Amino acid sequence: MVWNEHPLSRGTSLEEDPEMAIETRTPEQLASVPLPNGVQPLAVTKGPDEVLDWDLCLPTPPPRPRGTIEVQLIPAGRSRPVPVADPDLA
Amino acid sequence: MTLTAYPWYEALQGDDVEQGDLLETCPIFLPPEDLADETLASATFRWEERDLIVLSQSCDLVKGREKVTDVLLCAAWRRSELTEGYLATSKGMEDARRGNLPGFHVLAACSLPGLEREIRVVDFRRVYSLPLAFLRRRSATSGKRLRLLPPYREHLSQAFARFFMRVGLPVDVPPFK
Repeated sequence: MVWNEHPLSRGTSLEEDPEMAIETRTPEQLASVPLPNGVQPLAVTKGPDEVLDWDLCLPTPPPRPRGTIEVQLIPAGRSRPVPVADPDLA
Repeated sequence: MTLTAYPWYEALQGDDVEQGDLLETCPIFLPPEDLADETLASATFRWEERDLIVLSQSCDLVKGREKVTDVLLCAAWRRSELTEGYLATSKGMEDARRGNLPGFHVLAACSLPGLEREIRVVDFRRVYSLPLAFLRRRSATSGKRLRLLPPYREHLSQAFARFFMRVGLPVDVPPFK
């Protein structure tokens, strides 16, 4: 299909064109979709060769000196944005 | 090319603050939860000491032309402080060094005279802000301190940006095997 002949480019809503329906199946449902011969099924879990670990964190920070401080809270109203200079006048 | 042409750190003194500046034993202040419920006249804040590294852009911190009032900082742990978990192991540190743990960034040890420091790990999940005026005063009174130099400073900044802008996909493209 030439891209500008696409239903979306003609202003067709997603609901009007079943071909453009939004994918609503869960990963588990997608995993059960029959695949062409020679294509491996979905691996939905992290594999051993996946080297990036985005989730690793330090739940408890290393112990450091700590304490408490009594503070008096003085209302100062809303803060103001830092004025931006006109670059043409700089 | 010699490695000495690209030192990791320089020593400096004074109240100039730039991205990559290390502020050791700096307090961070944690307001009590009940402060969210009502406006109080006084409160007890917790403070904790941290080694912090500046993440705000240097161009926003130029003296006399400041474009921010508060500075973005991240905690930098000394390797010897990481006594638990994966980062307490050499394998974990190697993974962090290779960039495989995007929440962390490894900084080299420093051997500048009087400022010898061990390897550190910047923790991108522990982000703080402190007023620039506070940091200037603190920097001015803290004596000699360290500044991370280019290109290591930009490498840190890029690693932080990469971590911060991460997008997790609910349904990924299946792997090719």
